[in-house]
Amino acid sequence: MKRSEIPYGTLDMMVLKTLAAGPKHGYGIAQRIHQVSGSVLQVEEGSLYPALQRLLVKGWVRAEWGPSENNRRARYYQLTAAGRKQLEIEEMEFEKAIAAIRQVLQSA
Amino acid sequence: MGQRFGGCLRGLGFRLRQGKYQRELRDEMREHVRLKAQELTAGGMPEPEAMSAAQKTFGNELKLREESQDAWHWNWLAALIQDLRYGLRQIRRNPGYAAIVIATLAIGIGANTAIFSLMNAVAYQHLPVPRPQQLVYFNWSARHSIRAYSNYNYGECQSSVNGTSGCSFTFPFYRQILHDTKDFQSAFAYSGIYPLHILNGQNLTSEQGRFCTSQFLAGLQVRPYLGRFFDSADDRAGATPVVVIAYGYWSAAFHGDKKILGHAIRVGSVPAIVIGIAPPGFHGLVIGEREDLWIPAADAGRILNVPQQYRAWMRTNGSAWLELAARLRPGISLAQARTAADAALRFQMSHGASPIFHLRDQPKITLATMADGLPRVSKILLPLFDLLMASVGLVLLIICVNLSGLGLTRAQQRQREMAIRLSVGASRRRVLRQLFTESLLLALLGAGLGIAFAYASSGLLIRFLSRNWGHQLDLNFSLNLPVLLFTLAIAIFAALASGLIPALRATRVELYARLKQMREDAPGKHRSRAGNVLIVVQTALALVIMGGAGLLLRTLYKLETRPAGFSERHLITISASFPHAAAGAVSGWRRMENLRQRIEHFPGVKSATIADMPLLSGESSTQGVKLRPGRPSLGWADALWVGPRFFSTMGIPLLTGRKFARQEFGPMSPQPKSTAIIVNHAFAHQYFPGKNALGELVWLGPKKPFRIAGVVGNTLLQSLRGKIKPVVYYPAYLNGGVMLVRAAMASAGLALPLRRGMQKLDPGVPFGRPQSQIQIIEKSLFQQRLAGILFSLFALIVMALACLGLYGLLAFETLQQRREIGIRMALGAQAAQVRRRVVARGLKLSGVGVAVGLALALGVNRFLSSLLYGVSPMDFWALFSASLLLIGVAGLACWLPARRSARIDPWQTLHYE
Repeated sequence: MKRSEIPYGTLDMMVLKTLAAGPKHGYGIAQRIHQVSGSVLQVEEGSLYPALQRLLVKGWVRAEWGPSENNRRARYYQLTAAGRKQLEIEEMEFEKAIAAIRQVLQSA
Repeated sequence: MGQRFGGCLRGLGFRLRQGKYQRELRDEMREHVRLKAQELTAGGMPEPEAMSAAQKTFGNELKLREESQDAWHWNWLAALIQDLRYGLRQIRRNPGYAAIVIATLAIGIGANTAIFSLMNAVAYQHLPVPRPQQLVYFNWSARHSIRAYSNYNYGECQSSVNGTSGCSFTFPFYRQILHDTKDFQSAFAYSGIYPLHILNGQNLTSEQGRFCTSQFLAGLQVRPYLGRFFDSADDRAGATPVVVIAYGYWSAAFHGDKKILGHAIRVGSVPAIVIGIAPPGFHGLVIGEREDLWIPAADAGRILNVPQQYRAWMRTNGSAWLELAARLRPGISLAQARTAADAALRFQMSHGASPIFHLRDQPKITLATMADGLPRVSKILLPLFDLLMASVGLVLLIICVNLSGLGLTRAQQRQREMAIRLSVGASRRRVLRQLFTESLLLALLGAGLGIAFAYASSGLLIRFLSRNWGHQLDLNFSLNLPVLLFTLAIAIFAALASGLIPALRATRVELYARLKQMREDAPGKHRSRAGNVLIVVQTALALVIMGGAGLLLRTLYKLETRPAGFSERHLITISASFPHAAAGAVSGWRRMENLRQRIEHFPGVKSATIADMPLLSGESSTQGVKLRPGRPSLGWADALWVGPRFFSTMGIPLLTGRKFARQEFGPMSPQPKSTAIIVNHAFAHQYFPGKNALGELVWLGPKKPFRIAGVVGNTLLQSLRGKIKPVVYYPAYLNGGVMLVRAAMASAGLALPLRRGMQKLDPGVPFGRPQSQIQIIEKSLFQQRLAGILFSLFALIVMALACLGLYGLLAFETLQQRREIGIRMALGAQAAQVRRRVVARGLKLSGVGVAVGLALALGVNRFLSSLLYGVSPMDFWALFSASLLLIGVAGLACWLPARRSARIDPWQTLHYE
């Protein structure tokens, strides 16, 4: 199966969006993005965990320990109010950028 | 911004609880792998394989963890360590450059640290007593000096010389304050510090003593280390003399022997029992001075050998010899206490038997805080230290500018390195930070070395100050927190000031051009412009300091050559103090006179005389002058009590009238044997303008008038800096004073044999160390001399630095332009033309620097004016000669590169290209 790279700078936004539906652990986030994108987008663990730490430090997500599917400890991430606001901003800017790119592509 | 700050805080939180978060991150990642493996197993993969496959896709867990932790802002520390390692490698690679930078910074920072540490030791210290903020001392100011027959000025407060303010009061006034005022927990009075001769067994030494009322130590809330302090019974006429000694003196002179308690030591000629030892750390009332012993005020008359006739004054309003201090009650403000003190003064003026002020004098009492001690040392040293601080600051600035120039040259050399670093993706900020870390590393190493330099140089400075102070000042270089912080701050400043411009230059992003021209010699126009500015700034600052040094040296010269009105050469002074004579014995002044006559027969002695104090030592005693009895004083005159042959020995010419006759001399007293006085020309001129003063009557004391018998030439009595003042000479002296001996020739070899001879003639008299008049004058000029020496030293340093900078710039430019010069020479330019071009460029730069410096100096030099005498702060000759010298030396600095440029072989250069 051919997988696409996640466009630069959009991982944070997608993580936030995924969490908007409810708390998830790291593996769950990766799975969800993979599924929702129709198996097109594959989140690298190598970029997921630095991104999660970044979001934690910025205060956009909160983390809590909870039981995982196989009854071990997993860390569940949850969107904060600031995170929700940030998601809105990023979605808006992303839409703007995509619209602009599309225009450029169509004009050519 | 707020969010960013919050992020920093959270990052810091993660960093602080690093262990916990690292563990959590590990657990989290392991669970991730397990979940993944589970999914693979569900998909039909056998379990062990699934685990390793999951592990494989997850990647290097350790690396991932490190990358995740970067989000916690850990990277700055890692980067710092990396930068430090890199900096150290740079130092190792280029040790010569590093050594120059570290050494120059060590001098610059060390000089600043030394002066700051001394300032800190003098100025920002509290008295080491409990709650020093409660302590205040009394000052008076009025239109007329305090109305006592004698008025002491110990130089311990900010008093004026013309007698309209001071801090000495009479004993009855102290009692009044003590009893009338409820705002004070305690009040106490004390004299200034006296050097006292102490005889302990066979050991005769001179120590610093202070006379005080019984509440002195108790009021300061100092607790005895051993024994007891004074009680009111000790401070009564007729009480057994007692003494409390300082811990330092006790350990040094008595080796900490507790048995000294209850034993007597001789203070002057009076045996006094040691009753207590003050705690270590308590050095008295003046920061920077050490007091060795404290004695009840009641014993002062006997110990100081005050003639019987005057002693009564010390307990009445006859003599204002006590300074006054108090401890405020908690909650009482300075203003409240002042009102109370004023009320006590008003009461004394209206009800006292002999008021110390008249109402028309409009006296005022002010209270000053004594938390920082009495300003005896600080008021003299602080202005000097301020000046030194400013000048060492300038020196550091010049050093930084110079290093900045050096750094520019180096930046040029490191262009390639920088270009590579920038081109492989390092951000400019990152490279700047690394360069700054390098500068900071050098500056901190310089600061470390500078602290050692500060320790050594401040030791020298303290020794120099102490030698001129008369005894060891209680000042030390100490590396306490403020000093360390100061040093750190100026090290950071120096790193920024010397490293910023080169770093900005080195990282200027012109990558393509940079990489392309790496092997060529860059024209470096920008560099030259920055280099020019640095040279001009350096030269200008150097001129300011050189001009200052010139002004101070000219002041010193003017003072040293100022005619004092008497001959200073071949004059030896030896102080003597006779024990008070027992009834029937030969009195002190008679013994002094016998001694004087015998000394005149010593080989090598031309003549000898006596005065109550040495001339030009900074001391003086002043009297009010009235031309009619009962009237207010018209003005003031300095008074000197002298012995036979004074005017001939000192070489002061008699203008009119006569000198004192032998039978007129007698002991100093309010009712002297003779009423003849001799005045100087300034006295006659001020009080009898246009008249012959001879035979006129003058009221100087409480009783009979004096008659002017002669007028002599003007002399400077107190200091060389002062104005010529009216002087009255009396034919009398105390039980002691100063023996002034005129030697037939150079007096250096005569002084010690003379003192030994005197000691043999009258054993048992504590004679002081002989000093030549020149020595006394030099001591009185020590402030000028110190400022002059240090400024000259700084001037030399900064001149050398400025010229070194100029030399460096020109040498570098010549090297850069060798191709151009080669072409010029190939086209027929003469060596002399090439040389001239380089020298002209150097001189133009230093000329501009001098011009800027002159403008600066005109603005800045007025801050020197308190140290100047007879020289205007804009003195033409000082500034002119400094400019000339600077340009001359700059010319020399240009000559070497100029010569080198003229030696360029055009063929070789062009061939090389």
